[in-house]
Amino acid sequence: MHRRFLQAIASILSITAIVSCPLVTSYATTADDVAAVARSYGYSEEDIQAGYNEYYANPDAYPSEVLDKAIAKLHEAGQQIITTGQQTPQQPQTTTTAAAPNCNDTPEIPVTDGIVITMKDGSNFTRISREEFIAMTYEQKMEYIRSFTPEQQQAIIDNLSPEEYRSLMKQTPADQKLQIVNTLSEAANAMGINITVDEITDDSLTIAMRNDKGELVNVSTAGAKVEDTGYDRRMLFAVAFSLIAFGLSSVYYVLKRMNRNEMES
Amino acid sequence: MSKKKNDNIFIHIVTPFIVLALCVGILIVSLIKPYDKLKVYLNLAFMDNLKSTPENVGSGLVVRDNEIVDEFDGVTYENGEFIRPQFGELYAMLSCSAFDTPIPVYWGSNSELFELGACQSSGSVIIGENGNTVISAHEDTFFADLYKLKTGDTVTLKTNYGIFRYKVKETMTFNKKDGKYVAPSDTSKLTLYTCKRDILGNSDERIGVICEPSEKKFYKKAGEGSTK
Repeated sequence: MHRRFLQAIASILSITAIVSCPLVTSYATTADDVAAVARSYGYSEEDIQAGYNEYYANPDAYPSEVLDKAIAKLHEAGQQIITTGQQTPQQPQTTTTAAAPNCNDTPEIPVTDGIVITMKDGSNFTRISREEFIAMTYEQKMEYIRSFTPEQQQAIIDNLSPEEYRSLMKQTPADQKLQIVNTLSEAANAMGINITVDEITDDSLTIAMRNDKGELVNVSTAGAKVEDTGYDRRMLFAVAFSLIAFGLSSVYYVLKRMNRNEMES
Repeated sequence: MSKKKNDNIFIHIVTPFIVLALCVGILIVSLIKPYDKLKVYLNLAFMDNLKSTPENVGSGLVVRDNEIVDEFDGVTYENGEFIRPQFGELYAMLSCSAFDTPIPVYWGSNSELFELGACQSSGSVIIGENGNTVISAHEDTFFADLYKLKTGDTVTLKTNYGIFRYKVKETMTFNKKDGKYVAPSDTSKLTLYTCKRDILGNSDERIGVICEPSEKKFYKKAGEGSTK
């Protein structure tokens, strides 16, 4: 459910962002650049392709000035996935074994195959490997990142790979996801697109995008790219078999009653 | 004597209802498949009349039915200009040896569009473009005979910007949670899938075919900015 939820959010993000940018401008930035930013935040290729399709359907409808805004929006949404916070005392970790970080004020997080990150001031520190980070739960991830200074936290966030972002997106708590959807809805409204959650169950989430005329522009079924291509016949069959069972048992009852009458007479 | 008379009255009253219940139950079970088939043909024969309008259903879906070019006599090109569809737009007709009649293909997918024909995922590339074109439809209706497609069969997609032929390269079965077959790809291919046949209708398994392009005919030369 969490995974689907976030994939739907990713879908909205990529569509609204790519839709709002032109393909080629006289300067260097292109829709491909926007797609690259989307990729860096872990958005799926399906969502990015959906964004491309939306854009190419009406390439002239979107002025070039919104290009940078679109990229900024992607960054803004990305920052909602994970932000820096106050440094918290480091909790001992038992899953890793090796070298300690280099920086003096860096918590002593043991790492096995760490990644050395260089700060703007030239100092270095080591974070855990991408595989280890992805393997963590959401709480462990946040605890790990909060164990660094805010500057180092930002450096780690800037260093996150698309796969790491994707794992974060999958694990983000539902209330935070809803906040992101609300933020996106506000942003999309400014672009003349209304986003509504059409259906939400434990297994599915369907988000619809409509233009200012109320016409459906796109429907994103929460990252479940494989469609439901069968009708649910269970209720129909239950009714049919109930009727048949009722009929057969009634026939049995009537025959039995008739036999009894005959025997009595 | 009186009791027997009462019993006879009871039996005479109850019997028609019992027979009715039995008949209705049997009819429901036996008519499901013919009804689905009939629905497809009715939908194709009286497309405009039977379709729900967005005003009726309140979803905002605007179904745009286009007349798809069936025969094109002009010059065609291997690379050409696309006409990009909008959500809910009929933009292609799919035909192959497995289907009795051409199947309408709509851009985008939701439950209402699945009632009208096959649906193409808006997360896949449009027909004729480089990448994975993913089309699905209900197993009970439009893709009821998809399982008949075999390796080497030809699948034809006619659009208003060109005609595209594909050869079935492989058949597949996969779980609905496995998104690898519907994911974008660098190579050009057509992916068709539907539910695996199941008596209860809903199945987590999907069956389908992967096709590779064998012929591309665009009606217009490529125009600037019209393709990715």
